[in-house]
Amino acid sequence: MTPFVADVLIPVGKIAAVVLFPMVMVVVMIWLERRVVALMQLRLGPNRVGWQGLLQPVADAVKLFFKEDIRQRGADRLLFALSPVLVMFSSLLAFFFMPLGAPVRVGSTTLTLWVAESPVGLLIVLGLSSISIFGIIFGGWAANSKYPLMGALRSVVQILSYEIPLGLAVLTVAFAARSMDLVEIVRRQEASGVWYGFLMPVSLVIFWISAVAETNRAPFDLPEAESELVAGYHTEYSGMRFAYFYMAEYAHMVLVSSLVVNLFFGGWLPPFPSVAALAFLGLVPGFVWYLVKIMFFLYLYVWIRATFPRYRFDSLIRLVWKWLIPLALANLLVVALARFLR
Amino acid sequence: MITLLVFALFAVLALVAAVLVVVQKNVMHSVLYLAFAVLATAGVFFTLGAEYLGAIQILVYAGGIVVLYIFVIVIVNLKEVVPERRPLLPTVFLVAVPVATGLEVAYLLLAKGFPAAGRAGEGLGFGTLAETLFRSYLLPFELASILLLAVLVGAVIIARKKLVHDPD
Repeated sequence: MTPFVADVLIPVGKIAAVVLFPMVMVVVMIWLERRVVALMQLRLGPNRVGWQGLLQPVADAVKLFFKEDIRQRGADRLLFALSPVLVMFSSLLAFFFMPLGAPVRVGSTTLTLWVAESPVGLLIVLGLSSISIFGIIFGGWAANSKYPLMGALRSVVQILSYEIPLGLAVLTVAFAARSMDLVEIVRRQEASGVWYGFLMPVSLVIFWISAVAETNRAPFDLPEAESELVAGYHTEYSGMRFAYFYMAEYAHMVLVSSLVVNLFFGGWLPPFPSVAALAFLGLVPGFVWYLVKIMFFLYLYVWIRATFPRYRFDSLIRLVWKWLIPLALANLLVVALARFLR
Repeated sequence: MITLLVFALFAVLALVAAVLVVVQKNVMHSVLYLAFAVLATAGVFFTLGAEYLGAIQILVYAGGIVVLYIFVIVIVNLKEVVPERRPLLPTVFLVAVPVATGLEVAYLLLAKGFPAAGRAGEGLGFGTLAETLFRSYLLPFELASILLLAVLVGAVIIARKKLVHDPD
């Protein structure tokens, strides 16, 4: 392999793939969400554009592209323009540390399916994904309108509160794997033969509830509760700027699903590694397993949305401070003790 | 070479953002540039190989503290800072302290050279970090946490005061 291919072509290709992958998943998710929620509510949903309405997201994108870009008087120009970009940037950037599959052997070289591996990858991903809060609150504030501001304030309280149990649940995984490297965490699950989701179900449940709240999804979609706040922080946005917020929400969901799969469900690993009769499952490429697993969690998002009614804001905050954080602390102590004694 | 370029990029970004934080009149824009400064500083840490420090910088400062600043600004509805005219002595003091500090740093660097810390090995030694913090510097660490606890209790008391006198 020439140095040009190794040093330029492969990294650039990887970066392009890592930016494109969440975008493709976003398109799939927009279709899945509308169609599945419709079927769960005994409606048909979009089924006209393409097979089963599969091209509906494309039609949506074209529509949004040609819509007028409205910025009402009194809006803060800089922040109004910057917020959609910030939201999008934070979830896309975090994917650079996400292992998307087992290393692939091509000829004499090994191609890793992640752009960067860092000993503190887990912390970096959590930090980058929490930057999206800037976009939400700047967007809500810059619009100079009441409903977006209310939505932005709610989202800050919600995201800051739910980051605590999220971080505590992630810490238990770091304890179990003795590493904060996402690739290493998956490898440790391979070595120990048990996925951490089955080893530490309490951490998994806490992580998932907090993650749903972090992505502002139903039943915790208070920042954009349409019955109270029109559309929350992006009420005043239109056209492509709105599309950015819309896509960023799905990109964030893909990111969180990837995180839960890598931390708790063995990332790219095939299931049942110890059952000899199912050894043929290992022939399926790791990326496919990873994709199947994150599709399950993305479907779970849609399922939850179609099933549960929205929380009231005070009960949302009570849930995190009076139940999730004490539970996460107790769980952390138990895991730490178990790790120390072994 | 590329690392140096990236380092220079982040360093310049951090400095420019830091200057913009001070000169902006619009408070919200100041906070935006503060966030940029924090993130660029994290980038500087990454290029220096201090990945743990960079990650904590993003997680704690960008994700936590700057967001709390924004929260306060929105709550008190602070729109624009009107620069007030200060008497001569405080002005001299305000200018002299950063200038003197900068001169001192420059002098130390010129006289003694840049102190090169030993590069942390692979894994960044969480264990070493924890041992330094909880063994060598245990007392300052505990003092800092007591201070934070006192602040927390104080905030709760201030917030509760109205409720206690409320006849309902």
